[in-house]
Amino acid sequence: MTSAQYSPETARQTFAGTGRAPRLSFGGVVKSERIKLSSLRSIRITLLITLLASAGLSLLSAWAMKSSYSYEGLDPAALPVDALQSYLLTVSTFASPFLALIFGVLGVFVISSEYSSGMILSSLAAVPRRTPMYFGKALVLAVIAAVTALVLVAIGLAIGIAFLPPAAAQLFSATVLTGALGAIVYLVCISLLGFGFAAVLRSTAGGISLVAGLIFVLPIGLQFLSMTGWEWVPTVAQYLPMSLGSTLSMGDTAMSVDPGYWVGMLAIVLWAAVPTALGLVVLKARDAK
Amino acid sequence: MIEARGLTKHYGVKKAVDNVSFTIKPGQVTGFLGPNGAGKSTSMRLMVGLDKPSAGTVTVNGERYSGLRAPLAEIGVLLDAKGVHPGRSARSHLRALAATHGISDKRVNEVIELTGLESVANKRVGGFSLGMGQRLGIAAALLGDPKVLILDEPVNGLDPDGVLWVRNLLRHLASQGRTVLLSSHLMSEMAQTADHVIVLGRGRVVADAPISDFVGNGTARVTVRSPQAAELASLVMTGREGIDLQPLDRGDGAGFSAAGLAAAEIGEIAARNGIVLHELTPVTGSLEDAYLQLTRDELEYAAG
Repeated sequence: MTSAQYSPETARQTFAGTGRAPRLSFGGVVKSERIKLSSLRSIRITLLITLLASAGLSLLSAWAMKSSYSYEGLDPAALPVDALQSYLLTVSTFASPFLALIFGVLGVFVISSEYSSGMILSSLAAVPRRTPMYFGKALVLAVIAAVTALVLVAIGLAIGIAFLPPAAAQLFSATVLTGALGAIVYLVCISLLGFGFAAVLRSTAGGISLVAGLIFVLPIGLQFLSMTGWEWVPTVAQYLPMSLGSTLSMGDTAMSVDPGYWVGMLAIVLWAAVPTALGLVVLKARDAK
Repeated sequence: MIEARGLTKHYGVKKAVDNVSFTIKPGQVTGFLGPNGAGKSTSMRLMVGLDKPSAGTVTVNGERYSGLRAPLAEIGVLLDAKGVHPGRSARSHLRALAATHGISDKRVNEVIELTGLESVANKRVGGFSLGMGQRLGIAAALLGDPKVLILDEPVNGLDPDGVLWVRNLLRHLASQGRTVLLSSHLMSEMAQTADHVIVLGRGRVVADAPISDFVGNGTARVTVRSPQAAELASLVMTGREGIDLQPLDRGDGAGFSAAGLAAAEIGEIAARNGIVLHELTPVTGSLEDAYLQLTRDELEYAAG
């Protein structure tokens, strides 16, 4: 490294007119958060792995389902409309309850990495009111999660049509569109759920444990509890994130299971909103780190 | 201008800053001096709203930091704790901070140049040495061309070249009328950089005075060595009052330490009487002495 020679002349030059007067703005904060996320290699790698894993699972399920049709002696071209719709949604969104873990971890990481590295001190010194930084971060996370989910669902649909061309006719049916939308909203909400809990806990390990526990462990616990025959247990289980993910990715159909597509949508939005609000309360109330 | 009034911060039962009031004026370098745990870093975090005071207020140019429209243009801060993500490049780190205030990439390049980080600007910060990390922190503090600079232990980890560079930079920034506050537990660093010193101990202000009040505060002495030390000592004492002579620690009688008259006078006396001098050294009362006296009772973790 070279050591800069400091002289009053160079300083006068460099401190003179720097263009517009600096001014804190929400647009600037959003840009800042975008730079922060796009400049981390770990985030890019996580997103790439998500897309690869999702495409792989879509390929596998498309191949498996097509094989099962020929095994049962069905003519794919003569499949009923609802079977084709269900095929497309299975191939494109079947993996989303599992991919949810990666989205949740992404949400955790976006904020917990600020605490583990100490970056939060620089971030909050630049944006001392804190709320704009928090919402700027949440917004950039939501956009990245939405774009990633959209791409992976689109890849899934393309793979589905490639394996079974007659399904193309059902691509813009209400069921397939609502199912695709449901899966995307679900994944975005799970990333915000992870974000909010990590903002409360300020810890990567704690955030990931909580997200994994909510998505994977709690449903198993409730399954055991359901053996007791208590009536509230299956009802509660329907509103857990994993179960909502399945409900939403089936789309708005007549065969929809409880609690139904639109109530499910509301429930998953609450799963995102409540932790996000809690995270903001903690961020505003506590010292920076 | 930074003004603290009755500023207090507890962490649990521990009082990190205890009812502290001070004013840090523009146009000079003010030093926060004190042992570890004295409340220097906490006071600085309170100034930029990272921690919330338990009581009292601190304002920057008359306003609370969080109420400012362009905080980075008012205060540039270098915190002791690393505030950088190790996976990001120095340039991306600076660009992200600059973006919040709409500060241009041109200015980002300027602070990179100014701090001598050109060759490593695109490398990940995780591989930086302590010194490069400090330079990046200073670059971030300068981004908004701020009126006030707060630097926690800025020379920590810098090589002698870097120390000199920081010292000149701070002096220059103060000469432009900016408010400069730096903290250090190194008294020698303060003596060379600061115009004004606030000594903290156990969360309280122990002293708040110009540096000149600390250095040479009636403690100037002269060290004298001579093979004819005893003869010289009696000559020096003759006809003068208020002179304090102490034999040197070595105890071989070959020298003494004198207070109450200048080295020049002692030299002239020796010359007039043909006395050989081996050493004649004026010893300024050091900031160390003043500091140790002031903080003796305040040291939280006194040795032994």
